[in-house]
Amino acid sequence: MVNNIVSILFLIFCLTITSSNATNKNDKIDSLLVDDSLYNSSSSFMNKAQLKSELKSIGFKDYIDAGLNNEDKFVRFSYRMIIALLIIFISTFIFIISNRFVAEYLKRKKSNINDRVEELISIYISIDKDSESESDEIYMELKSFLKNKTARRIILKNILSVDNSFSGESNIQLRKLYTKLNYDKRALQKLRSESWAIRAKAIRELSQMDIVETTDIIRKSLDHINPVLRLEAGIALLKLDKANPFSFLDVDRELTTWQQMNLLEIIRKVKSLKVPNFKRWLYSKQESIIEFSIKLISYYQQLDAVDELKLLLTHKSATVRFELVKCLGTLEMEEVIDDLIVVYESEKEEAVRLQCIKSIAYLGGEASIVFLEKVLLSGISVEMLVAAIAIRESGVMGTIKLKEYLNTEDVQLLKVLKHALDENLIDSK
Amino acid sequence: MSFLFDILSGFVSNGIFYYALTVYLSYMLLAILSAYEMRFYKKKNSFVNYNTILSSPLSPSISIIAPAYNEQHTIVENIRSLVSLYYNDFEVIIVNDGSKDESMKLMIDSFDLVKVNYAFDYKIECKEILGVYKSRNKAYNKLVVVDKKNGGKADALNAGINISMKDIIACIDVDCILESEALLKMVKPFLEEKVKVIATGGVIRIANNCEIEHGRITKIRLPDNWLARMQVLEYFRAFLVGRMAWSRLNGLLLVSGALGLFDRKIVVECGGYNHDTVGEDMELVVRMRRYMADRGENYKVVYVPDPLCWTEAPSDTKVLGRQRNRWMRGTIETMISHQALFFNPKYKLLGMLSYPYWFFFEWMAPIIEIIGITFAVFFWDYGLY
Repeated sequence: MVNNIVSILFLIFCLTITSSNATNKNDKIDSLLVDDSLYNSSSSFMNKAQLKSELKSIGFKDYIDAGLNNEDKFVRFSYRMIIALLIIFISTFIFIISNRFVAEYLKRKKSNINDRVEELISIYISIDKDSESESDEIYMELKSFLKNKTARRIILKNILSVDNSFSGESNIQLRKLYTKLNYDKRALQKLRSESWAIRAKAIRELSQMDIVETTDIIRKSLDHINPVLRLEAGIALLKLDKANPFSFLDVDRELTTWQQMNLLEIIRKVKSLKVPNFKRWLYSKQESIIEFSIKLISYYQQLDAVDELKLLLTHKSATVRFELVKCLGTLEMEEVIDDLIVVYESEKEEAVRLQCIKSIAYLGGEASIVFLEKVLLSGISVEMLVAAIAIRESGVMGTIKLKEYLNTEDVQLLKVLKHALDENLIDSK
Repeated sequence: MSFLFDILSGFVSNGIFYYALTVYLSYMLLAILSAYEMRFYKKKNSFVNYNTILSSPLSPSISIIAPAYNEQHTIVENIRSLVSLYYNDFEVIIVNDGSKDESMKLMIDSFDLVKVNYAFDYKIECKEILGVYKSRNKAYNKLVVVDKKNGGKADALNAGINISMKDIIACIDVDCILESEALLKMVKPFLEEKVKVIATGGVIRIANNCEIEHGRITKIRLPDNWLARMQVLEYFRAFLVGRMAWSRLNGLLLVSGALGLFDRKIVVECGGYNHDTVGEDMELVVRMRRYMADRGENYKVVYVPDPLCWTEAPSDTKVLGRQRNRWMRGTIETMISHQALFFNPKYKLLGMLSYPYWFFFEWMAPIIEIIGITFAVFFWDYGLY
């Protein structure tokens, strides 16, 4: 704020100085400056009144002007800058004001079209299937809107929104209307656009409307540089590609956690998905693809992948090792406990070590309890706490076991035990 | 004397002009970058459904840490608002920093708190923690209250970090009002970036004169007070122009203390908040960046251009003056303690652009401004305009 005020003041100051005495004073000033006695007298400050009169008598104002006039380029530059900034300011102001008026007008116009379209579509999905004349009438009216780009967008938005809210016969009707109004052809055209956003929107639209024929064209976007477009293509293929829905895993591109989250959400929703054996992607060049494949092995409980998973336990990436340990825990095969203990003992990454404790605890059994007791006495407080909580969660015997240690003189252990046994912390991690 | 006078008049007539010109050109450049970044953000966000984060087992866990000192009038309402934020795996850690009022008693009574045997280590330095409290009411299961000896905001935040066991920490001012989706929006950069994100910040807006119900903004209004109104504009410029552009360049040095998300592991490895500065928020970000650069790791600090947090702005000059004084001292202290960054090519953009920019246009700005104002008054007084 102060910045702005000072700069504006300074600009005004420059403008005033540079405009007051523009030319032909250089000679006079030069002669004044050459006069040493005058120059020196100006610098000997006595008092304000004296200085003021001296400065005026020698033309201090002219001295300043001379400095500026001696630098013609500077003056010209200042003028141009100030004028340019003023022009920018005024045109921006006019642009914003006019833009607001136009936006308000368009908003009203859109609202009117939207009301009519909403009404037509709700009638269309509710009329009797056999009443062809009525549905044709609605179709014709909607078709008449199509010449207008804004109206076209409004109809599409309404079709997609109503499709999301309904199921069954209404969806079938809507999809018919969608193709009858040639929106599928327009979406296909959009797929050829240079803009990733337009393509992504078209893919989302086609997948929602179940246009299976476009699968091959959508697949081309899987290798696009833009991650949003790649994600939309991956999601669409999960819905549309009945033969090979997981083909996005074949592409040598990173899958961020955000992409994995979105894909997993669709995987959980789409019924009758053709599930491949994910162990074939465990040796992908992309670590993120390996990570996601491990998560999918865990999700689909693909027990036949255990041997391959165990072989990867020494993978160079800590994130991959973390996912492997987590996955081996969820597969509920007690025989992997020994492997997990080996990993725990050689692992340096805290997150992987903690996950080893959790996975071993989850697998349960005698070997698990022995291991957890060992960790409980390890002296590493974070791990001790995870182990103590795991022992308590193993059941009544676990709680009894923890209570047996309560007489210990080890302050750290006592602190951990009290935490694990505190009734008010049962739900805390 | 004449020599000094020559230098000063030369500086006033040329130097300040070029300085102001450079500042404005940099603003213009930052505005262009910011517009580009926001356009991209808007486009990208049209495909986002934040409910995905809410329901996903892959979402990271978050600890919200809010230090409180003598906040008895608002603390209960603010906690209720915090525990009702939209997120799946999160906890709210309120750190009572040795309040002298009734804050602690109010919290115990309102939330049915009970002292628990919470195991923690002093991983980072902070004053003694007197007790950790949890609610017996399951509705407040996410609430953890830490009672500690008074040590200031940075110290209280460090105590909260020691208690936290989640992946990400969200450090906030307890009197701020967060949007319901604030955590969802701010955690997203941690999930979608190819390089490691160490911190994220969001836009802070001014809540003066807005209608607030149950800890949520229900109606947005411009402040009545002109001083607060000017700050509304100032905040817009600072957040939507400055920080967005610096985020685009990955040169952001400051994540506001009112709301910031940080990678807990990196914060702990860096030693937490610095007690010895009033600008602990900026100092931590600079230290984290330096830490990552020293380790040769790629990283990012990201800004989210959505209004996520509302705060009350000072509406009288005295309080505003105190606030600005604190901010400026914080900047100067951070600049001094990290002077090794100044034009240091080892730190790439951080050393060659971010730090020098802050040095010349944030730290030196008040000095140049005072000179400018003094001379403007001087010239005016002598009729030399």
